[in-house]
Amino acid sequence: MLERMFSDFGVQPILLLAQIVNFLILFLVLRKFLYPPIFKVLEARKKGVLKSLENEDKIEQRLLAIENEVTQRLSVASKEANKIIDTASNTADEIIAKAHQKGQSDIELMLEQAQYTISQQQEDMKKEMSAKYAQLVIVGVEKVTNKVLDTDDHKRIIKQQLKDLENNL
Amino acid sequence: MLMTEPKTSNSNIAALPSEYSISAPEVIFQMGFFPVTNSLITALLFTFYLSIIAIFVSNKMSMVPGKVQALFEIFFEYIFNMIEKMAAKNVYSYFPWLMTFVLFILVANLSALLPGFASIGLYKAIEGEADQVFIPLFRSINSDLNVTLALALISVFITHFFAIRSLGIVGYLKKWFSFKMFGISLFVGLLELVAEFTKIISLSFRLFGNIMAGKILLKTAKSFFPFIIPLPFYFLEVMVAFIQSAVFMMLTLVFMVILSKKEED
Repeated sequence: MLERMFSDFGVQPILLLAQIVNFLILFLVLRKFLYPPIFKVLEARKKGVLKSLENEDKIEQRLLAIENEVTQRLSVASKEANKIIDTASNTADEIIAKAHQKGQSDIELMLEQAQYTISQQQEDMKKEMSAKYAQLVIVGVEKVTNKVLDTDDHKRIIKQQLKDLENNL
Repeated sequence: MLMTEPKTSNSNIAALPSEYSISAPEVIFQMGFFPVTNSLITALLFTFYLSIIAIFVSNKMSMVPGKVQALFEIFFEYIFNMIEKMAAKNVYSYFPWLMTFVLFILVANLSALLPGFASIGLYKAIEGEADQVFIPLFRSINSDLNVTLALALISVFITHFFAIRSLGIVGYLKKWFSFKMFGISLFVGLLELVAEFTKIISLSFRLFGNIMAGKILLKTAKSFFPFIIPLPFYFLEVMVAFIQSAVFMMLTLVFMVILSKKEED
């Protein structure tokens, strides 16, 4: 039955053997020429991808480290900046306070000077007024008495009038 | 004389390519006792041009692939990963065999669908036939049982070879001849040994049957109307070409993995 079936399908041992040999030749050629270079390229690419992934990890870690460093440095810089600002603020306060103090003392000095000048001017005016008043009094007395007064009279009258003026002022 | 297949049956030469032999390969010429069939010529031709392509590709391989190399690599990598998932560390042993099966079967199946494949041939006087019959020079090689049987025999043989290499001769024999469970295991083992022979029949006839059925289907469709009607069947046959090559490869892989697995005590 098997022989009949093989005969119907044209199966012949020699053809079967020929096909086996043909396939084995193809297998050997492909194993020699096609598969090794493909394996090599695929393996190299796989390694390349793994290396890239490894590098990516390294780069990520480095980036993370740099980010941390930047954060740390920024924090230090921020602290230093705050410190500088505080110092500057304190210095400014001190300068302002000093300027304020100086201004105050200057004002006081100026006030004192002004008061002194005023009092000086008052004194001068008083003296001028006293002199003019004494002159007027002498002129007035001379006109009333029709008498020319000597120096002693002048001195006495001026003394008397100044005393009165002082008392009135 | 090399001629193309005639369109009408009115010719004085009978156009009977399928009737001459639908299931057996046609003998083109005889070399002493050795019959050179059209499927053998086709198989040799495939081996030749696959070898040429292999040598060409191996010389042109580069780390930065071109379009053709990229296509090859995608295909190879896909098959490689598929085998690696099942065979793990044995992938480098199994891959060359399985990939050769895939390439050989796929190229053979797809080439058989090319125009002119079955229509270029010669007319020959056949014993018992009044007229000369048309014999195609090329034949879809998987529609020849010699080819599929050869592939199945190689598949089963290498399956057992890898099993012996993996388990050792004692471990391999223990798979079939074991006296555990009062001899029941021996019975089961012997049944499984018989099943190993059915693998040859299963693998060879599955491939042969599918391709032969496709061939008959296309011929029938073309006999109704040679244009448009056969087109859907051509698409079907393209699918069958891929599916059958994948099925043959997958079954061989599964058989290899199962047979190379150590028996659990």
